[in-house]
Amino acid sequence: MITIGNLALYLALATSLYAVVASIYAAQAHRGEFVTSGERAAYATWGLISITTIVMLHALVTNDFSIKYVAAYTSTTLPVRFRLTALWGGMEGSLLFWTLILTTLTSLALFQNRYRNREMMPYVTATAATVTAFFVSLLVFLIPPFALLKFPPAEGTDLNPLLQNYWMQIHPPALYLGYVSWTIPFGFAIGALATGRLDDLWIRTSRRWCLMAWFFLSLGNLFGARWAYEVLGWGGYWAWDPVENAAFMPLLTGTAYLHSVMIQERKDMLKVWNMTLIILTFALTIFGTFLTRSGVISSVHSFTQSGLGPYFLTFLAFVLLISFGLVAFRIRELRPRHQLDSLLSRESAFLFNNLLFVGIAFATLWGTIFPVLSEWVRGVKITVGPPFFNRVNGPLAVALLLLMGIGPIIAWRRATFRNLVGNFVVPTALGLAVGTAGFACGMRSLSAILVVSFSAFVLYTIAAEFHSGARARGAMLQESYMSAILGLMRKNQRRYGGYVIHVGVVFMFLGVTMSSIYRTEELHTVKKGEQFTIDRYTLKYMDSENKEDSHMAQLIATLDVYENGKQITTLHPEKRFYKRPEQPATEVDMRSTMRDDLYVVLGSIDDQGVATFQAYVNPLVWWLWFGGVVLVIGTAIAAFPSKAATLHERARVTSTIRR
Amino acid sequence: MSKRILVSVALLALLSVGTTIDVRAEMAASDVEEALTCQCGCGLTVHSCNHLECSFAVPTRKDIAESLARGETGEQIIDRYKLKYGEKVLSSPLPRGFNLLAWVAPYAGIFIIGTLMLLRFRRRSRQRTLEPPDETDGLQSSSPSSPELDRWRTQLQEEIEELKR
Repeated sequence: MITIGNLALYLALATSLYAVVASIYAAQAHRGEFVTSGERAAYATWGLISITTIVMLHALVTNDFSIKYVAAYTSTTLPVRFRLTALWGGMEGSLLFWTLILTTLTSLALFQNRYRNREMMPYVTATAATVTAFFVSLLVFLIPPFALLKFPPAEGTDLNPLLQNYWMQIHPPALYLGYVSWTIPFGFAIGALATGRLDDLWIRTSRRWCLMAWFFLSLGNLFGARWAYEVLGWGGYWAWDPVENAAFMPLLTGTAYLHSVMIQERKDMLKVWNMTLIILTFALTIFGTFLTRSGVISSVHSFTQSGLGPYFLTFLAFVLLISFGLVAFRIRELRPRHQLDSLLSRESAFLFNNLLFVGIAFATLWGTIFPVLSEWVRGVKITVGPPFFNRVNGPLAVALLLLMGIGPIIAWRRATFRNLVGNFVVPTALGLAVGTAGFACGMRSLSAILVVSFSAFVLYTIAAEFHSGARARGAMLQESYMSAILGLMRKNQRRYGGYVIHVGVVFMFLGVTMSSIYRTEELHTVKKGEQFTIDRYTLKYMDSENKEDSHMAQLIATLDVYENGKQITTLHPEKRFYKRPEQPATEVDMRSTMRDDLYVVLGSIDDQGVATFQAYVNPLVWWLWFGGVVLVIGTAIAAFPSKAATLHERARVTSTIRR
Repeated sequence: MSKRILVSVALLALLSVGTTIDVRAEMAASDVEEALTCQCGCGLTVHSCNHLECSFAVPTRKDIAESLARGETGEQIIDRYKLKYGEKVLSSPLPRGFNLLAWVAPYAGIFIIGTLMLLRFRRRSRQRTLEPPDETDGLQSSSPSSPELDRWRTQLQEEIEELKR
């Protein structure tokens, strides 16, 4: 089996390199047969990487400890589901998994475009195959996944206990899908630059890919936050760790792109900017892999240190050089046909939104690399931690929230005074009223007051958009209010799907702000039968229980929770001790409601049964996760293929063929 | 108009930098804990360290509480830790010397790009006033308008563009 895995990997390197050469030659020499040949090589690469992955999964499930990777990340007592997810538990496996996703998506994109965009496709194939060849060459030459041990151990070291969690089964695949999917729009951008087809064809073709990449990157970040919340046991979900930042930065530039691309489609403006954003987003995904795998920056998420850093940096430099070289080559053709009419317009709101997104991305990048910079320049190690990022990015994020409300109601091209008064008076008044009510209710944090005010402003503007559209449609087509709303969403999925996503983002803003500013925490040491109070909850420590199996030992506490004298639930926070690797872990328990989360961590229980608990009350944090659900619904509305869009696309293809 | 906006952007940037840079006055224990990074390797601040029996965070929290009770200021406590462990114990760089760059650069970047955008817009606007009006520009809102009319214009324009595709 191992020989098959290795052979498939070596062949995958050969086919991916061939795909690059054949596709570039086909595009330059206009040789159709080489276009097909290049694409077939890309499909073959996918098949070969799939074989390699299956061999690795087989080795992980069957505990083939002769393979170094299997011995390092599994054990005989590890449940099978975690043996499968050990594929992304270590450096070699994670890069193999990355390559599998990349080749799968490349094959899907090639299949989807087998009759379309034929002029551009060789460059898309070449771009995706170049990225594939880079990753496969790392696996072949530097970190072979099937490296063998001279003396296979009887038992494996096992998977890091922190990774033995449900969220870790879905967080990395979602995140990798998000990261890797950006390769396809990037490939189309390179195709557009290389062929000179700089109209919005490449944008329309790659629109769903961008949405998919953005969606999975958002989900990946959210799943990661949820994992941190449930597993790390510090009551929070985001610590501005370099690896979290690495996943956050492409999400920011990608979101900026999804907004600014609308201006290019409508106004034929911002072509250079959009190219820059898509290149930066892709480059940031490579930079993210570099951060996680180079060991340059210390992080709790990092894989073991390796010598991969220089290779990633070289590849990154190559990507930037080629991409911006092509932009420079086409700079004249990328000039916009239209200009901004006024600074008081929806176009400029989009521009400022882009400025803020890129600003936050830059601030995050700057804060992430500043410790390295400081060490180079001054020779002094410093830390740039959460307080820095919160203080720098906080005001920018709040400004972004405000723009989210302004965007939908300011007029295109030029807003008149009447437009401003007519559209802004009510939401502004509502925002002020909500802010004032917050202050009257005891809110004293300026950030919190601004966020609730702006949230009310944004939610009103979105509701007003739905309402006025439904009213107009209902009157015109004699539809009921609900049918009119559904009709509106069907007719313009992208616009209304986008609004739904904005609602989700507002919920997230509220959840993050309130749970960060108004969190309550208490540390208590109690005997059995004693109780303690946090916020409006009373917790009574009832009992503790020991459990043990071949994989781990568990110490489970039982706490009855009372609110206003009435028992509302029982919590069971745990302390675990994993036997391989010998490592303790906490398993928090919580009671989650729309109002707040009661979150309890078991610290220790001594021989006399005296237990220490750290308890938190996190207000409104439920809304962060619910915002994620709304975001999923919004993306589904925006991206789901509609009949109208299919007909429109069919008509476009037919007219192109006729021409 | 552009000048006023330019000045507003500059003021906003200055204000943001001003509010961003921490002024350490009357710090509570939690503020001091947040200002220090735990040295156990968790990557979190002393306040947030998730190890309930952490050999660094637990005694540090105790020391901070006792020191504040003794009358030591937050800044004095932080300086003491900085002297003992070096700058890496601070959770964010002090806004002095080279480290000032960490705080200023993001806002400076936004300010510079924002200014360039505005200057470019002004230049284009001037050029446009010298050019004849665009004949195809039928939807320019120069006629008397109302918010409702603007809305319909926008929708009309969007639908025309949709049909053109």
